[in-house]
Amino acid sequence: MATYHIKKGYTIPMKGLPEKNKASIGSPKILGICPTDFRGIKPKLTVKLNDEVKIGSPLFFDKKNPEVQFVSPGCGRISDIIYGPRRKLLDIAITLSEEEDAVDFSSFTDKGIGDASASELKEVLLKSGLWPFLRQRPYNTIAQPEDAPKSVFVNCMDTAPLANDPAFSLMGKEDAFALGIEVLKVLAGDKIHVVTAPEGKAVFDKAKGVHVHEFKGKHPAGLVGTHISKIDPINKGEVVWVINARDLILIGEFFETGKFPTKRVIAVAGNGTKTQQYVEVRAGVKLGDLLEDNLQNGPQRIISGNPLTGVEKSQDSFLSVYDSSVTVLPEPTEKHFLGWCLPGFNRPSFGKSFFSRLIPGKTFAFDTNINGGARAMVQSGLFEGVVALDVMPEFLIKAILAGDIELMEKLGILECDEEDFALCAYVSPSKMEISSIIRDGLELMEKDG
Amino acid sequence: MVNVKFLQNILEKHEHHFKKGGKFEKLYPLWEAQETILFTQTKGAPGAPHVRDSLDAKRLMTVVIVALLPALFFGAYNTGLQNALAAGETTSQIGPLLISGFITILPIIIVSYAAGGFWEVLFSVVRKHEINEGFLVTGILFPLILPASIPLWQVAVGISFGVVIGKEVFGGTGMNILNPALTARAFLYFSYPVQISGDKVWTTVDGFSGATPLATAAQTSSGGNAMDSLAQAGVTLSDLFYGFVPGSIGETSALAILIGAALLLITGIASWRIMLSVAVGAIITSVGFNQLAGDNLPGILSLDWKYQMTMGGLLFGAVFMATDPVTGCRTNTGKYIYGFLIGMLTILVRLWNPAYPEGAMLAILFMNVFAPLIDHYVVEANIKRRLSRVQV
Repeated sequence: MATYHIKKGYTIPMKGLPEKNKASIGSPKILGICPTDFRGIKPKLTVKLNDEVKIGSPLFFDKKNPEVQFVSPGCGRISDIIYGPRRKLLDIAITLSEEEDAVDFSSFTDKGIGDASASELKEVLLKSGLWPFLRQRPYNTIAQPEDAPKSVFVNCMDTAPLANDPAFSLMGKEDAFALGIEVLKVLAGDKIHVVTAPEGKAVFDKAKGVHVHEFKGKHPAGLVGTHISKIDPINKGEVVWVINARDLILIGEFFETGKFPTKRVIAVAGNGTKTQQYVEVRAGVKLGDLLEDNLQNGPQRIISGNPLTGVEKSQDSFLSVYDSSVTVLPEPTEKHFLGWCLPGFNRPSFGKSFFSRLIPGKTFAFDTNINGGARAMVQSGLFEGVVALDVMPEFLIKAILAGDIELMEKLGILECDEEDFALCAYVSPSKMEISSIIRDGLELMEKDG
Repeated sequence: MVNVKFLQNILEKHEHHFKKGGKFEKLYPLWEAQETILFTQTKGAPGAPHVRDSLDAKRLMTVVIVALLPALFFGAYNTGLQNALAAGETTSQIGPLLISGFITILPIIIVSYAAGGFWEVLFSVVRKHEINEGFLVTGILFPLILPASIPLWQVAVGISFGVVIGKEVFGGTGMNILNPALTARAFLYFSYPVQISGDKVWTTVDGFSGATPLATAAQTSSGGNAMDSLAQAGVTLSDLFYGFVPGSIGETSALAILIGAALLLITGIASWRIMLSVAVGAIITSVGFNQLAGDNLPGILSLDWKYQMTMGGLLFGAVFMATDPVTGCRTNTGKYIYGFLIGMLTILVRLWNPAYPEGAMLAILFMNVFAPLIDHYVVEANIKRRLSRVQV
């Protein structure tokens, strides 16, 4: 086992960390799935409004890779299909029936995975709708089934602010995790890297025959991009598969039961909620059901995911497939007189020009205020402090803004994902939208590179 | 907390005039500037990340301006002091000297802000972007590197050149290649040398000749000792450190500049790498030339590094100009090289170019031009490292 100490980074001192107790909410009447959660796919529906579906029935597939199926998290009737501008498929809602039934793969999974070939496993993962949990770098898209990855990274930690702590929420799933690892071994051979935080490794101890690594430090120490760059950096033409421990556990559970697993433990966080805790929910839970009676007064922003990389959603939409937390933050309403020249005891900052730095360990009630006006890239040296990859953030960002594909590639964009740069956007005094700039660069690269 | 609700109400009442379709739609950048100066805004982050740091451009620039205040106040005092000395008046009371100094330099600052601000606003209105706080720094940096006797029309012409040619033609703050305040000074220096250099410009007393320490040192005869020439002229090292010598308004006091430097370093706003390497470059170069000093070479070669550091514009340039994040190097390795070369070039110009007693301005402008090249090679090294991984 190797230990890596990440010295760069920043823990945003946010209030609203979830308490470590598990609550549950009543049985839902409606569940849903948002095709927009899956980056880079072209969804094609295979169901119509009012069709009956089971848990695990295919709902749509990716036109670019028709074998990649996306399945229903619940059993019932397709009660709503919501399109956005240019007929972009946004939400598919399923109204649940009293008795739920699931598509059953136990005739395959009961045999165990010992003798199964990689292609057999791939086929069953694709059919059962579990394949999309395997993602790839570069581009952070769903893994291509025909690829042979040079290694697989299993991320068992999360350092993002207000994040779901896997050591807590995945407790008791040791066997499913170990089984998931066995599946990965058949799929991708023995180059499997399991990365954990220093604390809470017990859940992941049963995995055998893998490379175990430990990452210490502030965010982004827990990002898979950081792990890859330190352990096995991606070069041109190479592909690495990545999966979150919680998603690997779902694969393990599928091989235990033969059915698409529907239970998730998610963190409800952020000072826009009244109580912050872990909640056991069904996959695809409607955010309005999850947050019922738990929102503070005033306008709130509901984010599926963590504050750095999550997606803003309405209460009528659903928990994203990949997300393990929901964060609620107040929208800014208060104007402060001469705010820029006050000492700033209440203004948290990565930089050192506010007096809040004199009170280490203090946490702050954040809202979503952008805290300034957009400017050209002026300050230098801040980004280097929060990016843990061996890239030069400012120059990469400039290459992307200039649309210089060749230079972007030379500067290492293939090693990057927008989540690796989320802290850059956080610290930028010029309030540049760096996460979306990186995303644009990756999309340009994927299209023309 | 002061109740300023009434102010907020006034702003909200009149805002529609400046929004799209309002009477003064075109002046929106001006409206935006005063509104954001008075109140923090309530604009939510447009997407992930959904939380943002408190630091913004206004805070950055505010810290720089606060860091300039010691140099400004001392500059006002010293201006009063030098005028009183030239006129043979009493110099015992600080208050009257400070006031008389401010009476001399305030018009320069006001003209600098007014003329520079005019261009800044004009370009913001035409380009429809927010007014950049950067000009608030430029507008005060520029007067501080001028002699107190500068004619006001030259201040206006100089800052106009600096802002328009030095910055706006490149696209505004963040896009410029040269430091605008130094560009403005260089423009005046080469266009109107009589009013900005020589012995007669350092006080506002007509015809009074008071050489700066640098000029005195430069006149040391071949083989002579520069420190002796300074001592004969009545200049001690402690005078130089505290700043009781003739010179540009904000540049004379090493102490005042160091207080500003401390603030910039504590807040992390300016790069310690650049400040440190400018000093190292200057010290190594001057110590090196001390060894060379001899009979047939200019006497100024014998000048000790402590004098070099406290004289002229070097320290001011190192702290406030070389660290300009826009025009300096942006890579950490590059910052060391960039700073070192500024220090070295400053001393080289001082020692070997009798036409320009002060080298800091030219050295920084020169290295501004070369900063992208230095960065280019640092970035190339990163690219090579990435490529070498494939072959392994």
